[in-house]
Amino acid sequence: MKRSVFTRISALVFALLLALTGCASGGAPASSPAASAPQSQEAAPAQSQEAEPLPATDFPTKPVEIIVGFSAGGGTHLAAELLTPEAPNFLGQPIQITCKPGAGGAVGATAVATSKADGYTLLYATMSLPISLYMDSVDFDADDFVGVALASDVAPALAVRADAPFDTAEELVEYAKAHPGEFSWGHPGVGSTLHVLGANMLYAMDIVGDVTEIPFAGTSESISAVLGGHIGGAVCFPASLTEQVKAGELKIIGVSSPERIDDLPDAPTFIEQGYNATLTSTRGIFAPASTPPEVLAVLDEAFEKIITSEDYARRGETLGEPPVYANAADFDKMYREQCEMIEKLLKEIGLVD
Amino acid sequence: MSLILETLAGFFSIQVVFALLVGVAVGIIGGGLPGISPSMTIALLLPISLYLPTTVAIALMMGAYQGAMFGGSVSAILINTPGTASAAATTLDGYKMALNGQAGKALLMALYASCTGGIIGTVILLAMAKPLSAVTLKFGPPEYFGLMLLSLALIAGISGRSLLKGVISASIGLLFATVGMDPIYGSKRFTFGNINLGDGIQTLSIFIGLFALAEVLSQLSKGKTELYQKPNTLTVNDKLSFAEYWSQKYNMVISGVMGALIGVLPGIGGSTACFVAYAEAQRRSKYPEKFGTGIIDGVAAPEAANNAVCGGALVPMLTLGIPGDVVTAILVGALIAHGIKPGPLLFIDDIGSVYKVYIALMLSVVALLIIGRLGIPVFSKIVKLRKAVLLPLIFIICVVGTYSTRANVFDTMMMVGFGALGFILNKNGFPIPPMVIAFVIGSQLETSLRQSLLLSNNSPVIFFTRPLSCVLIIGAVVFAAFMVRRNRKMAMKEVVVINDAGEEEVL
Repeated sequence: MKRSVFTRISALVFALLLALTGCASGGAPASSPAASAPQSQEAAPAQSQEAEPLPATDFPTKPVEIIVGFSAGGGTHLAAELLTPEAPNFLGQPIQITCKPGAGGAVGATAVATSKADGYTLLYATMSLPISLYMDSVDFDADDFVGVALASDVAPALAVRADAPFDTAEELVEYAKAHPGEFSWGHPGVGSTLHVLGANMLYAMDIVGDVTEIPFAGTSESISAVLGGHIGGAVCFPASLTEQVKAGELKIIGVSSPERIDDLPDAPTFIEQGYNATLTSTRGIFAPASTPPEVLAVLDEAFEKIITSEDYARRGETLGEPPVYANAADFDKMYREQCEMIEKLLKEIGLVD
Repeated sequence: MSLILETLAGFFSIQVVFALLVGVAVGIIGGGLPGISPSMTIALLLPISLYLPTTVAIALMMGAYQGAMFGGSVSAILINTPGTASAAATTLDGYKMALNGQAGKALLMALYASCTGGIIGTVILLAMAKPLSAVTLKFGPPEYFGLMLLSLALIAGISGRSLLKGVISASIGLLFATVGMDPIYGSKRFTFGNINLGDGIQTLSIFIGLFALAEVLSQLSKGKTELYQKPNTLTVNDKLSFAEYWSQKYNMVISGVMGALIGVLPGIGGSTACFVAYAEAQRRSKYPEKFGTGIIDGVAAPEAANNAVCGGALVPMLTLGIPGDVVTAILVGALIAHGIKPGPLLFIDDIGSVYKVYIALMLSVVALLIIGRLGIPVFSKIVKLRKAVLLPLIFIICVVGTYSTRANVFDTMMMVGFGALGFILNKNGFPIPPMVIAFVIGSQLETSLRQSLLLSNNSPVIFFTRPLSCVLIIGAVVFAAFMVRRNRKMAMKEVVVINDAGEEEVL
């Protein structure tokens, strides 16, 4: 009797631990062979053209862990999960996503920066990586990471209530200059990506000092505050706006992308209205800077195949992720430029001294 | 009408029934394990749901949503560990009932109240989705501040015997709520340079530490003989009679309506709703002093509220496309993936999909009733374990649960610290609930206060020129005065009986 109870309990504990660890990593190694994969549609890109030949590597021989600095179930986590189904086909090993949220992604970034740079621990980061470099007292700097692949690029929009007394960026500027402090705008938290993207728009319009900034706990709160007329406008990603715009409840002052976006084809960009705001929110995969080049080459090639696969595009569409990709060299360059730009911007708008 | 019937007919297939039952079962397990939040459970189901037909997918998600809300209470009642944040209020009386040998009764009450609350939430969603969404938009920062103040005043009633000790405990909670990033300036407060505190103290570390670990420590302090004793298995009156259920009818309806209404407001969350419902039940009660000793009233109120929150939270999600919490945010993603676009146009263009959600939510209550009835005899076996076996198990759950939410050992360490703090405070007669509640409400209170002042250019007049916030603030003052008076009366009675508590009251 006594023993049977004991075995039962230990079985229970074991099951519990299994369940917990399994779930903590947000779905565990995605060993879903069900995902029908059209094997590499394109010829493998010649990734080592003129450079000196890299030493041979058998990487990867075990699952690769990608750390996400945001909560399980959140948008960034779900976007990172898009990488897992095709990983066994193109990387040869499963990808396991671990969520280490905290301090706007900085906790996860720290974990990767201090990990063994062997390619088995990667970071899935948003623009909050460069932001945290300057806004937080973090233990890593920009050069601790190299970009591996761009996986997502979404443009933010400045939305106001449909009955607002201005329709365009120019009219907003006039209004704000004429009524200093009266136009208030919301964003989902100080130092969040949307905060910086929004500040960039206002900076380009040169009205940072003429408007009131109201931080909220999330996009939902800021949009309902705009709809209720409690604040003037909110900076959001298109996915949370399209239905309200269609219903005629909100209108878009501008989108800060180089070109108009598919989700809001009628919304003008800031650049076409003569204001130089072209910062968009990028997400992608980073590796610790000292990762061996031959390992990075394997990852570069594998992520290209994963992110450009049909399966990825199809699943991404359901999450509102337009298909974009940039390889390691391009993405790394993009990341460095972004770092510079954000540092300058944060100083200009007084978030960092 | 015919569209409703047509939609309803779509639900009577074996796949849908199966999806509802599986959803509820997975929800109960995910909700029951601390560290796996309802949102994580639903996020895990999301990839599966993308491969299912729309009706089946909605059934699966709604089942998991309702199941998770009940699952959190199972661990709250049995081991004093709230499996979800919404179940924290259930520990207050639920665990006491389990200690009194009435675990089965507490679980049944929780199940029936959850189902009743679930139905109330659905009915409110069905009948008033449109008007309620208009009310939601009336709530700007000053109104949120008023509501939070009112909640805090109501909840002051849970402070127990000594109001002073309750106030001290609540102040500590408010202090903990200030840790982390300043909501307006973004500067770091009380983080001591530790990046893990950047987002503040994790709610789960506080909940599990103060409730579960503190309880483990206090059980341990009772000595060895107690630990090895065979637990008190005489299950006197461990069944819930219909009369007892029926005695809670008003309690459940009022709590359910409160839960649904609070759930409608984006960003407030289930745990506040449940504490408010609990406090309000205690305030209304003819025997408020019995709350916290293990009575069904104290289980019925928060349980009806937290399942009613589901229906409420779907109001802004469906009508405005604005998800009020993480769970509904994931649900929005799932619906969009199935071609259903929540927002103001949904009710015009695609009313059939709205009915699908309504019906799935209603049927998931039935599924919850079935799975819950089957599960309760199994769950309640836990209380038959010896303490010497059970306590280490609870400790493991505490550690793994706090680690797994953020995959961060720091949160586990904080949980251990809060466990020690809770143990010390308990020993000295400081009530724990005010601290937890103040912590939960604190950050929202502060944020909305400061947002309002930003909007008004630092003029406090904004709180009184807006009718809704003015009414809420006056309500808060009236309730606070009422609480102080009642507490003094209760204390007067106590002085005669209990000497050491009386001395504190003189202050």
